[in-house]
Parts: sequence; structure tokens; C-alpha cells
Amino acid sequence: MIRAVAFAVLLVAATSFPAFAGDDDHDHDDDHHVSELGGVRAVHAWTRATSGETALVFVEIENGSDKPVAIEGGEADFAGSVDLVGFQLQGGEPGYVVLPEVPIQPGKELKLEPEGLALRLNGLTRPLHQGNEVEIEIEFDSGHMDVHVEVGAENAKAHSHAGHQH
Amino acid sequence: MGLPLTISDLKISGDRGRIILHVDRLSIAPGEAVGVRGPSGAGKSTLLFAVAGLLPIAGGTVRWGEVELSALSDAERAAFRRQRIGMVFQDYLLFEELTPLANAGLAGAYSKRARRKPITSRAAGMLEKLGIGLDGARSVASFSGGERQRVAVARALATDPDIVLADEPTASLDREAADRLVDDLVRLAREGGKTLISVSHDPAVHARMDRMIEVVDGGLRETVTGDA
Amino acid sequence: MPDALSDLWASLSPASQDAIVLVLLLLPTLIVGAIVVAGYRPFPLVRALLWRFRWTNLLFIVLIAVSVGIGVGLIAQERGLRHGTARAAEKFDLIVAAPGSEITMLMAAVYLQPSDVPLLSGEVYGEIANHDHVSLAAPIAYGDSYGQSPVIGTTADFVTHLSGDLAVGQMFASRTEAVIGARVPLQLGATFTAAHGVGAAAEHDAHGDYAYTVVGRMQLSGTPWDRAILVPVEAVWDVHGLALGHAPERIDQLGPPFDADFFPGTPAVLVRADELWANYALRSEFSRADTMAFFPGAVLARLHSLMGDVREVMSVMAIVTQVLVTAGVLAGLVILTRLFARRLALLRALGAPRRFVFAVVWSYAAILIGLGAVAGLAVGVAATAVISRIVTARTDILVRAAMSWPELHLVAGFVSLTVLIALTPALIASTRPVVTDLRA
Repeated sequence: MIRAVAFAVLLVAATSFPAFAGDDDHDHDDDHHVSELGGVRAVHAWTRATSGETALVFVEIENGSDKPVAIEGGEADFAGSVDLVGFQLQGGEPGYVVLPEVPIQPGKELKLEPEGLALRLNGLTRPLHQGNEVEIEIEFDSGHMDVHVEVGAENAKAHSHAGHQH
Repeated sequence: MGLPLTISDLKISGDRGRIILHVDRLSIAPGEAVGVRGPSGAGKSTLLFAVAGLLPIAGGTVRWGEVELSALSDAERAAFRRQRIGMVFQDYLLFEELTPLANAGLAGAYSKRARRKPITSRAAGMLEKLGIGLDGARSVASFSGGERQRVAVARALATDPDIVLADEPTASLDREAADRLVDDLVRLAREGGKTLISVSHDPAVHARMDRMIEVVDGGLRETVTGDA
Repeated sequence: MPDALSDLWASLSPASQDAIVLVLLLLPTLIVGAIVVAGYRPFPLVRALLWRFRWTNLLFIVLIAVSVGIGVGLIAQERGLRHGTARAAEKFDLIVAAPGSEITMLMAAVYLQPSDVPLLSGEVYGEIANHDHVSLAAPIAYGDSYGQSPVIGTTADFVTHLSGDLAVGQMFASRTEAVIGARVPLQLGATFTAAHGVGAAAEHDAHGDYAYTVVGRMQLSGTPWDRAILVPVEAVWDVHGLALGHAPERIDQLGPPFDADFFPGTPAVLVRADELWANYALRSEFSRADTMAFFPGAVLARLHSLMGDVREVMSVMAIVTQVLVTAGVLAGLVILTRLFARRLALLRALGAPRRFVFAVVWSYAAILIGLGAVAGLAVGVAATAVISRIVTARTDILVRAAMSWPELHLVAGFVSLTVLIALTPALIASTRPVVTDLRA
């Protein structure tokens, strides 16, 4: 009986959590979903609407340059600080721990996505509304990059353009 | 000391608005013991509840000394009862789970802090005078009818009221207990100079009253009896 | 000021925050109680009423206790399940497998509920094992079983990773040796033959003459791995007549490095990174067309959030139940107060203020509710303990359910809400006609 219930729950879960969009190697035109710094590109930055203290920014970073770069954190004029954080399940409670920096090898890609890596905006000075765009700065060891961040729904699970062609 | 009662043109209406009791005039002197008798349903208890301020009145006045009871609000009448009136009922109406002292000192639960101690000590004194032992935690559940009614009398007198109202105090008791009870009740009321009104069909009660009033068909007929 | 206040709040420990929330939730009860009984001593009478109608009162308390117990048990059970499943996944930092369902793989590799999946090749395994930041890359080759126990082919490093030092015995050192989980019903030195597949469909004769000998037993972990039998991955390949993972001249080697040319494949690889951040980089790197990489913790968190949704639905149902029971109880109280309407009328006749009668009835109701709520906590704890034991026995996932703040908050909220509602019967009882009740 318990197994059957557990199984049913898992079945529902399996169908309600589509796997995250795979690599979409489509060509990103010169639109504001894409930022670039010396061959390093930040694509599809997004966050969730909130009126709370913190927000998580997710983004795909592609290292198109010929040397490793490391993402270190960021800055935003509407947040007290920005940390690079990683998801952890600690004692059954989900949470995020602060990470120093994460290197990205040339030609590789690093996805900041829910239940993985994220940039955490701490101490938001204003609420984020769905449909707006905010600007943050991502810090790399090679320099700073301005990135437009799309504000999705409070419970968004991906960028609105994820998996779409531009 | 007892309070004088003055009633004039008192009208009490029943559930359907019909006048069930009409008292033209009634005066009772302070410290007087008055018996009320009459056929069942004639309005004896209604009269008692009316002078206790428990019934809404349709007209006329009920005056205890300087206080016009009929002009007071519900809360003020409750306060008047609390301070000036003691009541005894036919079937005792005790809290069976409580001790005699807790029953007799019941008023302490809702009286001002300053009155609590005097109430308790007077309750204890009354119980003693009435021959009820204060042996600790025994509840009144095991008491005989006579003992229970004596606890009820102690409760009525614990607040040192000016007025004692009794509704058929002996009706639930056997002859012997009834005689003893009415002796105690009248003695204690007289000792304290309290005005006593007792509704009863028991001749033993009537015999100990200063005078009798007869309620017939919702009206009064006064009959004076000699002192017992 | 609000900033200062929120700073202060943020500076408090979680336990103090929870304690403060609890006090705030109870505050309405305390305030209403203080106001209602101010200046009176209703409790001897309340005690008398409680005793006089003890069986009816007990019934009311039981009703409240059961409805509170359901809510409490639900929350505690859900959290226990969440913590238990999370603890069982703790040792599994990152799983790499062939692309497919993360949940299927989570169930298979972490909770040992096997299912058929494609295998990862030797090349991919090599790529993982040789990655700069990988400190452990252990194949998890499942598919065989012995009785209720899955037989898992892996490496000695993984056994050490799971168990630390073995409880008894030693590590397997040949293809016919096995290390067993703490709750596998086999003795050290016992020999057994694995069946192909698991459960009823297992083919018991498939691996006819390939016998393992138990040489060690792992520490108890409170996870499904307590039922598992761990053997060298080479043995699993051997049993199935496959290559042995190493070149012919090194045929008796156990464990890494493996030779990609002789690597038959593994359904999953457990990966540990040498640094925390590297887990995320590895996940990113191995999320690609031919491999799937996921954090069991992250998948579990998504399942938990789904369970959270289920819990919310059930909590709403539990609250509805509680409210219904409470409404029933309060309706019952109105009826019950009629039983002692004469005593209340007596109080009024003796000159007790209306508010005193109100205080008596409310205190009486509040005590029923309070006793019911406390008993409800006990019911919840007991129910949770029983259910946890059943779940643990059936899944081998150690589920420990203990009372914690959310349950106390729920109960405190319930008490406060209900004693506020209880003002109504108190009001009804205190405004009944005195003479009518007195004559009743």
C-alpha cells in the first residue's frame, strides 16, 4: 500500500517535472537575452518575481574564449550584495551555500539553474515584478559583464525563452 | 439591617403578554418575616422573582428602601441581588461536586476581592451554626436533603444580605428536616434583622411568619395571622 | 524602526524565532483568557462542571484530540519522510547516467528500486573518472538480487564511501566475495547465488554456479543500502558473461582504473568531486547529449516540493476537519451548557454578573479545547511513531518523526482560533433567560 502510494507520487512527479531543456545550440542574435565579454556569453538570465529579501538569478554562461574564466559573483544597484551560491539539501531542508568561484573551461558551458548554481541577490531594496527586466553585473575573473535579467513568475522554473528559437 | 419593601401597581406579564401577576399595593417592614401562599400556578414564585429583580416588569414599581429596583438595569439588579439579597430554592441548587464551604461561599467567586474573605468566614460561621461540619474535601453529593438545604441557607446568608427570599424551602424535606430547617431559617433571619419573604404551602412555615399574604389568580389577598 | 525590528528578528536563532511565533500564536488565547476571567475565580465551578459531565467532556476532548492529532501527524510524518529520504541520499553527491528520467535513476541508484536503463560506456566512465576534480567515480551496476536484497556491483572505494569502516569482516578481494548491508539476513562466511533480475520475475537459475561468499558487513545506515549486497563490479560482469573491465593480462584486478576497451558498461556512476563547487561544474559538464548528470538532493528537493503541495492540500483537509470537529464540539457545547443551564441561572439569580457566567462557560470550553489539543499532540506523536515504523520496515528508509515547531504552531493556532470561537457558546449561555432556566 505504502509502496503503491509512493509510486503514484513519483509517477505524478515524473510527469510534472519535464527535464530541463537540453542544449539549444540555436543562434543568438544581437538581442538583450545575450551579453558578451571577451568571448564569454551570458544567455537567458532570469529570476523570479518577489517582494522578499532575496532573489536567485539563473543564467547560462558559455565560455567561447580560448582560456578558462571563473565566475565569482556579481553586483546590482537594487541589492545589498550578490553571492554565487550552490543548492544543497541539508538535513532534508533545501538551501543554498555560498561558493567562492567556479571556473569554466574554454569551449565549455556552465548553467546556473534551479537546484544548482545561482547568483543570489541579497537585501533587495525593491520588489521584482513579473514581466520587468532588471540589470545586474556578473563578475568574472576577467572582468564585469552587464546582464539583463528577465523577471518571471514567482514560481517560474525556466527562462521564458528557454528551448525556443529567437 | 433589613430593608422595607414597597410595591405599587406592579404588573408582570407572561410569555404571551398576558398579565400573570398584578400587585396593587404591598408594603413589608424592615426585618419582617412574611409568608406567601396560594394555589399552584397562582403567581407566588412570580412575585418572589419579581421582588428579586429577576423578571421584567410590565408596569408599576418595586422599591427596596431607597432603591427603586424596577428602574435599574439588568446589571444593576444583579449587583443589588449580590449585595442585598440571599435566596433559597426548593431543590437546593447546590454544586454537588463542591464542598459545603465552597457552596456556601459561592458568592466569593464573583464578588470583589475585598468581600471574598468576609464571605468565606461568614459562610463557615453559618455552616457551623447550622450544624454542618467543615470536614475538608467531602462534597455535598453525599448529603441528605436537610443538610443540603441548610448549606443553601448558609449560602443565602454568607453575603450578609438585608433580604432573604425563600422559594418553598421545605418542600423537598421530610417533616423533621423541614421543621428544623424552617426554625433555622427564621431564627437566623431574625438574628440578623433581615427581611424574610418565604413562598410556601407548608403550614409549619406559615406558623413562624409575622404575617401571610395569599396570592390567588394573579392578585394579592392579605391575611394577617398572629405571631407563632 | 521596522528595519531595526527586522534586523533584530534576523539576529535571533531559529529556535527563538519559533518560540516567539509560538507565543504570538498563543497570545490571543492568553489575552482573551485574562480579560474574560479578570476579577473572578471561576475555576472551582469549572472544575465542578468538568467533573459532573466527565464522560461527555471526555468524548469532546477525544474528538478534538483526534482531529488535532491528524493535523499534527500529517505534518510530522511528512517532515520525517522528507528528512529520511534526504538522509538516504546524503552520500550520493552527483549521479551520472545515460539520458533518461532523473527520477527513475534516483529511485534505482539511491533507493535501489531498479529499472532497465541504457548503460554508460567505458569511454564516458573514463572521462568521468579521469576528470580533474573527481575524487570518486564508482560504477553502480544493479540488476541481480538475492532474496529481498539487490546485488550491486561496484568498487571497494564506494563501499568505504558508504560505510566508512566495515562493522565486521573485510572488504571483498575477489570476484566471488561480497560485502553485505547491515540488515541482510546472511552470516559472515555464508555463500549464495544471485538471481538475475529482482522480485518475482527474477530468474533464479540464470547464474547457476556463480556463488558469492560473504566476507564483510557494513555499518547500519538507515537507508535501503542496509538491504543491499555489494560485490565487485567485475563480478557482475563476470556473472553475465561479459568482459571484466580490464585487459586480459590484468584479469584479476578489482576496481579502477578500468580499461575502456573491456568495459561492458554501467547503468550509473556515483561521482564525488574534490571541491564543493566542482559538483556543479561537473553537473553542467555531464549534462549533454550522451549523458545525464543530476544531484539526487536536487531531484529529491523537487519531489519534496511536490510532496509539499500534497501536504498543503492535505493540511487544508486536516484544517477543514479540525474546523468541522470544532464547530461540532462548540455546537455540542451549546447543548451541553443547557445541561447546566440551571446552575448558571442559579448564579445569575444569586447576583453573579453576566460576565461571570460568561467566564465560567468560556473557561470550561477553553479547558476542553486545551486538553484536547494537548492530547492531540500525543495522538499525533503516537500515530507518527507507528506509521514511521511501518514505512521504515517497508522501505528500509529510516523515518524518524519527532514533534517540532510547526506542529506546536499548528496546535497553538488551532487553540487560539477555537477559544475565540468558543466566545459564542459562552455568550449564548450567559444571555439565557434566568427565570425560565431556574424553573426548568
